[in-house]
Amino acid sequence: MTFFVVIAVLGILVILLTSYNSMLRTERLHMYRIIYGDNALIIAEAAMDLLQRVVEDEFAKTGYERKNTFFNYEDLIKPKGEFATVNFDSAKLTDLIANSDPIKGLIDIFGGSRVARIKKVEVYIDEKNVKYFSDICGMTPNFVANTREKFGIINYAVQVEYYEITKSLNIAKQIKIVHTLPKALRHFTFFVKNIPQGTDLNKLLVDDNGNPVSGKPLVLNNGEYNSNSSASPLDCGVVFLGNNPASEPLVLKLSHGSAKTGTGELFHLLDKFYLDQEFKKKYGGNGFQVGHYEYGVSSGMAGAKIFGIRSQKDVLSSMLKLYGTPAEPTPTRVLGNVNRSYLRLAAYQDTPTNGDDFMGDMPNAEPGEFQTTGVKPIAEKGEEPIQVHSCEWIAKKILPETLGGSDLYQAYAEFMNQFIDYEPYNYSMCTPIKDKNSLACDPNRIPEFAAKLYPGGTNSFGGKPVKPVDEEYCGDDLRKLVVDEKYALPYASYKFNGDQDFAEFKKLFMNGSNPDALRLGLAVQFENAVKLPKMYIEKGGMIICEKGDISITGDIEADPLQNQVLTIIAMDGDITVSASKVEAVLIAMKDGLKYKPAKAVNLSGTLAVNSMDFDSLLACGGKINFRPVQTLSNAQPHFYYASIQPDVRRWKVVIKGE
Amino acid sequence: MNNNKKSPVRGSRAFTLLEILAAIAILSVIAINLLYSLSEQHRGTTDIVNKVIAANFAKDVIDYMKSLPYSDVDNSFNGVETFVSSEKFKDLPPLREPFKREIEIIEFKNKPLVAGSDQKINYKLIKVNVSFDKNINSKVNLIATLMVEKFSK
Repeated sequence: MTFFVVIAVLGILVILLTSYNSMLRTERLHMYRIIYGDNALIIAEAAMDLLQRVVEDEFAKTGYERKNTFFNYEDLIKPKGEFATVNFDSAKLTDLIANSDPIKGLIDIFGGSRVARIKKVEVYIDEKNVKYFSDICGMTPNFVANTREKFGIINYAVQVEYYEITKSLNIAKQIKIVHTLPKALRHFTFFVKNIPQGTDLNKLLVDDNGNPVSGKPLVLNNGEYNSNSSASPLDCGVVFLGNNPASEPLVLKLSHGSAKTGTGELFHLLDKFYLDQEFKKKYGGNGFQVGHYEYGVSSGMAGAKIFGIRSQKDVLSSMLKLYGTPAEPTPTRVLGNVNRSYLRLAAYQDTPTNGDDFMGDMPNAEPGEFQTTGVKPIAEKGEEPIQVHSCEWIAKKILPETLGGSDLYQAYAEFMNQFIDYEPYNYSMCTPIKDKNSLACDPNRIPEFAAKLYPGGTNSFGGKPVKPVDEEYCGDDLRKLVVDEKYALPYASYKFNGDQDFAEFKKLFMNGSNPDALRLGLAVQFENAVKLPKMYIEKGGMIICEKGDISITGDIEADPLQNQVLTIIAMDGDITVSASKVEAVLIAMKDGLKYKPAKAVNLSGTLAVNSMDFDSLLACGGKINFRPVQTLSNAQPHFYYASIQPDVRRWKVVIKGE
Repeated sequence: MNNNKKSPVRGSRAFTLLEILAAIAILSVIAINLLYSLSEQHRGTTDIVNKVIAANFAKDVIDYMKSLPYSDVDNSFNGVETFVSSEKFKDLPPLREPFKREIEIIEFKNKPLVAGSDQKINYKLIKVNVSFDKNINSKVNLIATLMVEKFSK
């Protein structure tokens, strides 16, 4: 009996020990699994962080930078109806993350690739979770809805294996896909919505050379089209001046400019003069031609003997130099009921330098059907004391008698000797214009030119807005063009209170080795007034101020290699600029808002405002250069679309174990 | 008088002492092995429990580091920390004996994301060793993570 008891006790003991042992072993294995799983998750988190950075970096790229490495950006910005689920290239991403130096270094610490590895990486945007701003925000009158702008969910998944334990980390984040340049406005160099009645813009006093004596002009450079390229004049920046009331045209007085230094418009004659050798043989040494252009986009004044470009009294001209300067002429399309006023009076003698020069026909253009104010006195330049001469006198002086009789001189004098007051600013678009590259601007390149650019009938606003503007704006009155709050504010992915939060803004977007470098790539919103300091734009985007003024206190420059554009919008406040250089699109369109320059600013981009402080402008002057990269053709719609992930870490995380 | 004595049952026999001793010996050997195994398992369990605790001490630091701005995570954190005091991690659960924590921040600047890539990256590897033996190099629980600053071209 004792024996059996002993055996039984021993047996039970063995069973208990075995069970306990097994339990401990199981428990230990379980704990190892926990540790291994945790380690797998730590690796997955690091890989997820890196993955998001890779995708964010790809998203933050705009325009030329994009290489469509992991997905086709065109797929992302497909409009409603065409958009489908976007699957990023999982194999490429897995390969990149798994073989990246940071992850390899991390895995080495955890025991090397023998025990740990990135199994799979996935990123996708499900079409089921995508909504369109045009549906949510509703339609804006006169605007063509942009159905490419959308928001949805982007899903990330990382699968890591550690000692045969596999863990999956999944993150879903919101993504917004928006155009960071407001529709229509991006095509303008200069847009002033409201110029009150009685505003006199002709306050710039200039001397004989067209240089300002009192006041400073605002000079535009709308871009340059080149005869040797296929660039269209439509790619140049457009100007809109919204006079009020619309029935009273705004008259801008042009002033002459000297060859290189003046700020006036070389509108008088300015085709290059050609000497025809046959003509020279026939008529002797005076083989030169007189021509005229109302629009000064030509070179060739240097060395010329100029007749008759001298007034007898102070010349007040427009403070807005929409044609640029003689040294930097620019084509201009002006929308709005705007006339130009100038003295059509010029003669020009050139000394040809080579035998290839060509003698063209005499000018035979018909006098324009505009109101004129008769003959104005002129004088020969350099003549002391000044003698008043008629245009006919000039004609006789420069035209060989053998070319024609007195009728010719008279006809020429009548044609040239006019003071034009009521000529639409765009009249030159109907005549061949030659720039310094000898490009003739063919008006036929602008479809429905007259209907679009000439005020007339019930439309006093320069016709229907010219393409490409009217692809986005379909109204007749550009004064109704707005930045729609319903659209602009939801674009923002980060929101700051105001200037007091600027340190936070800097921490997020200006945190590189260059403390001035801005890497935005998205839209941010300040609820109240904000001061923008010196910035160097490495990645553009949009800064929107909901209420309050925007003060630009430091120079804003864009990386010339990146073609980045920063758009700065004051939704309900003024824009004050005390910087000397700004490469950005500045917009303050709401009623009552103003642009207030504090010093001469050299702006590259667009200035679109409700109204201007023209007195400050006259005191400061300035320059606006249109950036042609803003008006890319429809073949490249991905330019300036930004894909935005608002936050890196505050989104739902789902962990799956296997 | 009946002197009938029970005689052993015919055909049955008791275990011999030898058999009993052999059985006890076998069971003892098994029991000893089991006990030894039990002791090992117990030690292993203690070890793994300590490892879990060590991992948690390591993760505390990693989570804390990841909550800091990138620029604040620097090599001033490098060094060995014991249960005695730790000003740097005063907000974290205190270490207890015998745990020691060794932290190493390794910074990489402007490194290619992958070999040969023109995409450059700044990042930091945060290594945390937590030991729970006298020697910092034994019974180590090593954990690391990664902080990525930005990409540049």
